[in-house]
Amino acid sequence: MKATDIFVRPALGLGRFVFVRPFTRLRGRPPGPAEKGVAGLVALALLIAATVTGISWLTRDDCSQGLREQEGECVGLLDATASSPSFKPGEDGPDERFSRLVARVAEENRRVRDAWEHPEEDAHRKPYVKVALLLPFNASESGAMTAELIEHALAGAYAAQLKANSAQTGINFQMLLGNIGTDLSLWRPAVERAAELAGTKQSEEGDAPLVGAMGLLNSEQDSQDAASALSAADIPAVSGLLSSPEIEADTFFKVAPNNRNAVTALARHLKKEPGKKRGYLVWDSRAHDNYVSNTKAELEKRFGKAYQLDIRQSSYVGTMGPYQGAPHAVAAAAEGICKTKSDTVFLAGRDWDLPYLVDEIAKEPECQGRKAKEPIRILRVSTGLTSRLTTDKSREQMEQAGVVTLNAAATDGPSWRAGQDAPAQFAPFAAAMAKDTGLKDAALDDGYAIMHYDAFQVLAQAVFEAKKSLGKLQLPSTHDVTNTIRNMQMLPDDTCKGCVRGATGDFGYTAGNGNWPVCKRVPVVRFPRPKEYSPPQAFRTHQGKSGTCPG
Amino acid sequence: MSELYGRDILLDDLVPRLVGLDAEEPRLRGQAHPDDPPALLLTGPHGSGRTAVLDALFTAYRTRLPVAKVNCARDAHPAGAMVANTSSGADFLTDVACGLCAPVTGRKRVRLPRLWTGLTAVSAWTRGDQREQSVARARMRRLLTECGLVPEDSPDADSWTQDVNRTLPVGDQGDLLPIAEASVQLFTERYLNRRQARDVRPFYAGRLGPGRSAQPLNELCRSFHLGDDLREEAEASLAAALLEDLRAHYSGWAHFNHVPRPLLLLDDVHTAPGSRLLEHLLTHRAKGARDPLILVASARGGARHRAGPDAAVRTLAQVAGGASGWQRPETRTWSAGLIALDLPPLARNDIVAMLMTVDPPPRPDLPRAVRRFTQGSPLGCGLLRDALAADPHAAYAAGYDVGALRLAGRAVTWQIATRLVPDPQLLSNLILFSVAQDDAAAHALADTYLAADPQLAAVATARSHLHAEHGTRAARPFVADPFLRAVLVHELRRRRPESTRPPQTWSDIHERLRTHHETAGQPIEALHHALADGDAGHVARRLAELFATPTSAQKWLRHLWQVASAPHPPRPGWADECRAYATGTPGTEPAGDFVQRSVYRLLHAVWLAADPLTAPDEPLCGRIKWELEFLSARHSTGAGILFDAAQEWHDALRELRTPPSALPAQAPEGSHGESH
Repeated sequence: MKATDIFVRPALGLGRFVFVRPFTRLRGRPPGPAEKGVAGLVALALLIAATVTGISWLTRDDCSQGLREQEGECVGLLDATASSPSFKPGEDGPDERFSRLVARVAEENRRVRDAWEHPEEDAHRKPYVKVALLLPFNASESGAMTAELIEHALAGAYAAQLKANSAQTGINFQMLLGNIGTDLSLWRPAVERAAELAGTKQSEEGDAPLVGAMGLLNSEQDSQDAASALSAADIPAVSGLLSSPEIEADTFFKVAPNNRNAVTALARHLKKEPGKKRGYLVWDSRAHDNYVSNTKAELEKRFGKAYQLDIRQSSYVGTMGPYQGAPHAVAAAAEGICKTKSDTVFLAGRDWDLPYLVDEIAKEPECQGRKAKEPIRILRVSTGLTSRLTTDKSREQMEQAGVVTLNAAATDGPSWRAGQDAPAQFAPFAAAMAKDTGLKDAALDDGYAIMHYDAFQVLAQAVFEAKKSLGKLQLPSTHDVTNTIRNMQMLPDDTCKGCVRGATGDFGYTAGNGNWPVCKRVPVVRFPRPKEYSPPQAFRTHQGKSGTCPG
Repeated sequence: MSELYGRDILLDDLVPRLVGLDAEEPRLRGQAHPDDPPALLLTGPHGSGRTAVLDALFTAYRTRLPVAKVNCARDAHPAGAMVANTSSGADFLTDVACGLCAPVTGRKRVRLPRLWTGLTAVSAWTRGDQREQSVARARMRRLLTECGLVPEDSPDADSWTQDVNRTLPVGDQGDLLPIAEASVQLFTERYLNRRQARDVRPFYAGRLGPGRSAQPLNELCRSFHLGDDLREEAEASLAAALLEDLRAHYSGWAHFNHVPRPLLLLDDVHTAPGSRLLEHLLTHRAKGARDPLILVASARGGARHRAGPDAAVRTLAQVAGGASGWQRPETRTWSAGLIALDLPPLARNDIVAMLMTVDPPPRPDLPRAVRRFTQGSPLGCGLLRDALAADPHAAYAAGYDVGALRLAGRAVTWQIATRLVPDPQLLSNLILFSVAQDDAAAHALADTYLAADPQLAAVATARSHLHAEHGTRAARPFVADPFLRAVLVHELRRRRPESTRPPQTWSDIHERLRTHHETAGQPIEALHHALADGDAGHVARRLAELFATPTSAQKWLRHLWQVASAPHPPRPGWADECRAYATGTPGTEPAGDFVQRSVYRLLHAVWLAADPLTAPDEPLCGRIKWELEFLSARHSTGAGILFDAAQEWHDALRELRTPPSALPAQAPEGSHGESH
């Protein structure tokens, strides 16, 4: 018997029975009212089905797995186990540069869920809590985050999640990815969903409450609104990158030092190496950019008088955000720098605008005749060294132009990797990154990985701490976590009282400090880095005159 | 007849509404009386088109819905009475089953498990009886093949008796019941599914009642074979089984979907087995059972006579709209579920339409003549039309006389007579009696012309036949139906005297009757036959004398009509002669005074006008009017009556009606308005 006999003939018979027989039976006789009714109902059902299908096709939401469409993006809080979500309608999955990480996070989340719901042994049953990672997941070369930076941030958080889940603490973490839009303005769906998941009641067995949020990079007004919304929902949030001291909310904690701290670190550096003392301020004129305007304000406040920055300054249009003029119009600034023969340039602008400035300085004839020993120092406040800045080409460019950058940063990847003044937890972090995410060496220099690693670390440590006082299967609430973070303190003489053992070093929080980290290192990173360079000891926030922390 | 002249309402309205399907278009009609449809009984004498209506219904609905047509007058088994496993009732039900189970376009075949099984049971034979076995084989072959249980060429169709006999143990001497049991078992196993088989036994058990319900089908078979009342009971059970099967088949989805209902056409249910079958079916309904069968039966005779006491007697016009006014009477008699319809004679329009289909169209005055002669009988009109179609020029040559038309080599009146009275002996006697005015006269003729032995019986048989055909009618004349009488009289006129023994000549017959009436003291009847014999002068004189004596004018008019309605003698050219006398052509009038001459003319005019073979025309009617007006001035007491009668007779005769003042005071019941 051939396959056609088994499959094709019955199928043909069925088709004849369903589609042909009604018509041949009806031929030659009028249909009765009941048959008409049935036919009408079938037609109506088909019509309704077609209409519903048509409508749902026309109005289909291309976003799924917890996301919804807004302004051409899929925003909101992603389902924990969605391994290949699309953050833009019509796309198959996340940006391929970090899709692998998204899948791994989903896998870890699934493992965490199974460890609670279907444990191999009941004794190994581990409850879990949820943490939201709020980032833009659609990369933009002109937006807040490039794909590379997203990858690094995600990798850092993921490594921290693995670390937290491998610790013998009786609690696991799911990390929910929250897309807040390319320009950070679409944070509402994610925050609302996070608030739903967090709830307000005391958690019961079987719940997996959301206990905190992290992310919220860059100091935009939207970040402030998001932080306020999270705070209003009593959700503790930890930002790895935020540095503008004006952004504050009750339950909003920062891991990075703020701009004022960074400027202080720069001032300390200038005190040791004053140079020619001829300064110049270059700033990004984007009004709504809180980070830039705040940096500028801090720089002016600290150095304005000494360096006559009120007259020695130029502005340009930064690259981020919607068009407001030709970006990178930094030629005027370069001309000003060179004409005033400044060797100390204060830059209040984004990382990615810097290469253009260097380029213009290199092209500027007024700067051609300088001696190599008198480099133009560009002083900046940043998270780390971005890869755009640290390419061989830009290094070469800067060396030729006689330009060095001094970044008052939250991290000093090059030095720390070389073991110079490295925090205790840096080496384990670097090893974990290399092992879990494949990121190593210069990929860690921009600081996005390490800062998110530490941000997760803050939440994880707080959860562990809060869990200690609860039953085996009881889980801490957002209130417990917030309260615990508030009490992560550094006592005088660097005594750690529940402080955060971050990869960027130990730090803590204290009351009345706007939830900024205390005793947080603020190294000044030099680039291009000379051979045999040994960085000065990093400034620490709240460092006393004696050098002890907190002072 | 290809068309139902005057009966269209049955095919266009009533039956389509009852079955729920248009007769021509594939279009459903709203079902009238959806739960309890009335049965229709079409009545009428021979030639009234009953069978034509049923044939038309059968043709219209065949293959479109389950329809069976059974002729209850056929005698399928002349020797059947001797065979215990058949009867007319069983044969009719076999016909019904085969008809209803025939394939229907677009629908499943009807299945009748109860009736099939019941017929299988009663067909059981006594072991070894070859005649019974052949009956059973034939019946089962019909049931199996025509009901679609086995294909036409299947070996199973012919081998029923062998198959049953094979299942019986060899040594078993029990004869009938084991065979019945084996038949039922074999039939159930082979042809019924489990659900159908399940319902059969309880149904018959319920019919038979406690005590006999253990082996209901055996009991049914035994009752049938025992005959008499027990057989009738078994036939009633089979009829009920049919209705119950149809109910089951048409319940549920079919009912919900308004599937057109099955149609059963029973022809000639005036026969004994036919009326029994009808009664069985209707009795089942009268007990409260409901079924979807639409029953249309036909019976010879009058509606009131044939239908039972509780039947609704309606005219065709009254049942338009699906007999919506009908409601089953409270009484639980079988006739309560019946609507009896007398098929009316054809109307003027129908006759015109019918005759005008002949090519070339006949003489324009022919439809009137045909109407005059046939009184609207569909058979008469149809045969005359056929005769005209066969030889269109004959109508021109025939003069006034439609009786001279011929069809298929015989006179058309002969064709009509043989169709109206199929029995040749009866026809022969009726031809003789057709001129008799009452039973006594008929007896006188029988005494004279028929062999001594069947005399009495001949008159009685003829009388009962007429009664059965036409219902209750006046005793005078002997053949009251005008069309039948006209045909018979014409046949008598045409008959060669030597064809009978002793020879029956026209003048001898009338002479004999004249003597009879004179002896009996009936002078007017005697004058009637004197006129028929051609003695117009004597008759006119006697009438003139009566006119002069103090006879009331009403009475004189009735006498005039009775005398003048005498059949005309078989003399070619009689009509022309008569017209010449009527119009007072010079040289034709007898000697006498004005009154005598006027009566003489009037007598001839009325004689011609009353003759069924001619239709009075306007000059003739005008002549009658004129003569009556003339006589009104001469009558001593009845001037006004005669003057009124002048107008009345003129109008009535022109419309081919009998003038009311010409008839006896009490009008005969059931007569058509046009009878003379």
